[in-house]
Amino acid sequence: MAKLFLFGIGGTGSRVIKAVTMLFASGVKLENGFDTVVPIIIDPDTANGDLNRTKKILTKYQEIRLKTENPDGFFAQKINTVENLVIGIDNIKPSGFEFKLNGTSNQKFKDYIGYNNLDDIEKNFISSLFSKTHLESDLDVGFKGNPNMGSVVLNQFTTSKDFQDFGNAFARGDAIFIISSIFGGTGAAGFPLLLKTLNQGNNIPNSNVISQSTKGNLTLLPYFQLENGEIESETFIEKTKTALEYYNRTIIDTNQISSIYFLGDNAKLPTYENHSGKKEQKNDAHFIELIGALSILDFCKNINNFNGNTAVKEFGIEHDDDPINFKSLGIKTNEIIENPFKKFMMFSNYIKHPEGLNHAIGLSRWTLKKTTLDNNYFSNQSFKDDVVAFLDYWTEWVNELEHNNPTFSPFNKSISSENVHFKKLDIFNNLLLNNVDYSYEKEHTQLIKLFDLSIDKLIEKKII
Amino acid sequence: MTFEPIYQYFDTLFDVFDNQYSYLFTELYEESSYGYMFIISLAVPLILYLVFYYLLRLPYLTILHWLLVLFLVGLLTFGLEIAYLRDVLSEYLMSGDFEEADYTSDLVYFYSFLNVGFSIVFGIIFSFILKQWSKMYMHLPILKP
Repeated sequence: MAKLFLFGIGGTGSRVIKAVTMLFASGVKLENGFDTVVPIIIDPDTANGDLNRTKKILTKYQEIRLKTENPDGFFAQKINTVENLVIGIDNIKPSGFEFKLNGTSNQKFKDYIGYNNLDDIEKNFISSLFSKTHLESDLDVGFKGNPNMGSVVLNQFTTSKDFQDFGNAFARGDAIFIISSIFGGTGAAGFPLLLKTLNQGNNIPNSNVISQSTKGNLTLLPYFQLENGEIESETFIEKTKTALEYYNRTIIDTNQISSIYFLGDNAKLPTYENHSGKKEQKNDAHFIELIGALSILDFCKNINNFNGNTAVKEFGIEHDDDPINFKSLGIKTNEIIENPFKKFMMFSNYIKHPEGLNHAIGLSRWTLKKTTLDNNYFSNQSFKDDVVAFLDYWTEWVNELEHNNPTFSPFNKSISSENVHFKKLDIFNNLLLNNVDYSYEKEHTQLIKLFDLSIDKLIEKKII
Repeated sequence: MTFEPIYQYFDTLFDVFDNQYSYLFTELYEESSYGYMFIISLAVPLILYLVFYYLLRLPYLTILHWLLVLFLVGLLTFGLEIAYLRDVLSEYLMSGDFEEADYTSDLVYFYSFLNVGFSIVFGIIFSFILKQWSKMYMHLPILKP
């Protein structure tokens, strides 16, 4: 059994990790024996809205999974933190998914580099590399699209305790996947630095094993633009070209990585509000991030096929429909996500719709007899805090995908909002209840397994 | 196995037996009608509750629906028993002796109602047995046992 260490750098990294978490929740699994995924978010902007939302989603996922005995459909993929792997206990702590960067809190960039202690010649040299705005920038809002700042601050990866823990948790057979955008500040600077550290850094535990491990990367090219403001999205393309040239020369040509996935979309760019960071930076989920999450699955699927030369991969949809739906995707992509997404959407809709779960409680046998899923279970705070809260995030994510540009709206009305199939689902819940495990210690076991099985039947019978 | 003693017991209990018309009871005995009556009152609830517990696929049924089935059990038993007994005792029901015809008619209704009572009792017993293995309605008519 192997682990996949999933580094998400910056806001885009957080959003792709959110997308892959939704895939895992719906029952998608990694192939080739990767039983555990260890998300690690690197972002100096610790108040970033995207970062914190992703951390909350990962925490909810972990809560549900820890309270489910051997899930094999929904929530099957184990998600863990580096800290838990090192201490060997499954603690649930949102901060466990994040690598802290030292010295970025409440500090200006010029203080971080000790600008005031430099002599005049050094100051002039620094001024030729960084503008006054750069020097006066607060680091706790990130690098605001400036990779030249990011490359300085992020160079301290290896000194952190988190990184030492990562080294200790890494074992032979594990793999690394890095998610970054190329057009911003944190991701564009962070990816080459992190890769270099992983390949060459010898002051971290297990550095030999880490340097020899298989590594992949998802680089997101511009796929959104920003309203006028501090971050200038007109520079995204220019920055991308420059960075691509750099990646090509220093990473791809020299085979520093097994596989690199490029994704972008400049045909239908949504425009987001321009926030330089903190909680206001909370962009809506985007179709590209979902496809980016699929690159992680592809990487694991092909882990044994990489031959030493960097494989460069792209992605395209089969039909440029508006809105994009399951049929717009290629057959292989569709095979991966269609059924899991339909299943999870049905599950979510049933739990939250007044004609769904609320109608069945106390009336349908599966909530009454020989079941742990009785009124007590559904009134329990654990159900509301874990399952309902996660499904709220799922609904929010799906809605954002549906209202972004391009629009990804794959669910027909009968799954997304109507209740025509609830009765059939309750029939299967009754018929299949005895076939699923239950556990009083792991209280979500019966719910997660029952709905996974029952909705499978709805799909098998072509009801949804 | 003969079911006559069961009916005899209720004949005595409700003071139905009349020596003057003992030939009616002999006729029923010789035609094995007591057996058939009993089988009807046994088979109707068994079949209806087998359908209810194992074939019906309606996930939101309550005790009211279970009671409705029990009512149907009674109704169907009554109908079948009446039809059967009228067939067996048709000769006496159409007798020119009005007193004989009236007594026979009363007897038909008595046995029909008696068998409705049996079928309801059997319906309740079958429910508690069949519900144990029912995936849809093991909570009906009551949650326990």
